[in-house]
Amino acid sequence: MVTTDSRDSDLLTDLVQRYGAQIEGLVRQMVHDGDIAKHIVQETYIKVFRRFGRASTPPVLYAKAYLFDAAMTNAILYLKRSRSLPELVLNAGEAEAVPDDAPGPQKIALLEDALAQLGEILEDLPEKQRRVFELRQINGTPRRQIAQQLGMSEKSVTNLTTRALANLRERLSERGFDSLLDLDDDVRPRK
Amino acid sequence: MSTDRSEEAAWWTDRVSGPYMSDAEHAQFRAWLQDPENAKAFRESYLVLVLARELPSKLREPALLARERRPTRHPIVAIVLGAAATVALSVLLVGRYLQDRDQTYVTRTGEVRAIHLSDGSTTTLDTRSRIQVHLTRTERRVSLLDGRALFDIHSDPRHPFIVEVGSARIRVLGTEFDVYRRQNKATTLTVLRGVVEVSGRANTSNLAWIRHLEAKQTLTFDRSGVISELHAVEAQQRITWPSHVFEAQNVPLSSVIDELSRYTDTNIVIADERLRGINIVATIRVEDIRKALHDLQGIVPIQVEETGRVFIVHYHGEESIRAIQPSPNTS
Repeated sequence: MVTTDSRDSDLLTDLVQRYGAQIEGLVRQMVHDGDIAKHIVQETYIKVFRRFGRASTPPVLYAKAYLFDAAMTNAILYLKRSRSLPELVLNAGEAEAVPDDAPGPQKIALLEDALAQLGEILEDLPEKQRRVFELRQINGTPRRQIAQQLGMSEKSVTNLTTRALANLRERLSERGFDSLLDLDDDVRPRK
Repeated sequence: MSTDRSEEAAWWTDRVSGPYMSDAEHAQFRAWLQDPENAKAFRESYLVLVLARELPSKLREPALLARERRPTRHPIVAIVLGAAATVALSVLLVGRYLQDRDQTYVTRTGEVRAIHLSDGSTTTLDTRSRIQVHLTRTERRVSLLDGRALFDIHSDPRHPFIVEVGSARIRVLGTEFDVYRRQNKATTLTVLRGVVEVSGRANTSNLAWIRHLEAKQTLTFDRSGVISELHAVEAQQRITWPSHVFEAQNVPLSSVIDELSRYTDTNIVIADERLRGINIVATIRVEDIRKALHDLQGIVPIQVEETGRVFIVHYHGEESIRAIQPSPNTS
């Protein structure tokens, strides 16, 4: 379990409580093992708490994206290295330098801009794609229920959701948001 | 950007949000992720999803899907088309104007179902719920016999919509509201849109109490009268169950377990009294209670044991308590 010191931001504690189950579910799917997923997620929290514990509180959107991406990065690291868990836990910090400053303002602005653009892009998607994507991925409606209510097969629901997500990412990229990753890229120089 | 890679990344992103993968599927996923470009595409694709979930969705309003399908054609045509989904053809043949006469709808444990009524209204039933619908040319009446229902009422000023809950009556013209009849028969009414009038009767004829609720107000009552006076709904008391989501906003673990128990036939038992005092902030999906309990293990100090038809919730670890309830003295 994560133990944190009092300097850690309440925001991060809140984010972990709010999205913890979702993040662990994602990592469990990625590594296909509940226990390993738990360890990876815990390791991620510790890293992220340390990362922001020393800096000012990051904006919610940035912190949330950072948490999810850090968890995915650690899961991918585990899958690539095929290492045993203890090694991963000891070495997870090696792959990425952990800056000890506030998140870069450009990256924060980029995420906020991307979110605004995403709203517009979503509105512009073909009607069926938009509706199925929103129901499935934003509203969380079960695939079967969408299929029944919109009179299509579950496979069509999957295809439309996939196409919509690919379109969102491609169109975001066309609008100049080449990479949402590397959220530490433009942090201020270390002291 | 490679479109194929982008599509593949989107496909795997959708897949990891779905049911647990088989071993074979996971082997495929793992192999695909070995290419750094694929791994990057996957992370980006998932982050787009994380961002998209921040967008205020028009569809967050649970009954919208039903509303989109509401017939807008001539009323007679609408009745014929709408009927196919809900009632037997034989009812149509007798030519009733409204055809949901004394129709009973029941949901199984864990089932959440939207029912489109022939007057254009929609009611969404929560787990283990039962309603009886009585719609005729002159009357629109539904009895909530068990459980919980969200009503999105089609406006028709000439025919008020009545919801009966025990001896109480809720009277509406056109609105959306949630009625939760608990097993102890205390009922909570929450109005999302519009205005409703709710009244209780001491016996069949005497009106005992009456209240008018506006949007974002809630009231709890039982057969003896009003238990909790009407007050504004807190922002955190959002109605999320039609999307199979339970939002626990600083709720005791015991209440969370009570809520989850409604969606499973397997008993859930809290084995350690220390757990009852822990409050939880979490968004929990209730479609798969085994998974929900498993996920809870990640955020509260519990260990869930499954034996036969019982989930036993054990206390697990002292340091975890500090993580949930960080105190200024922790360092």
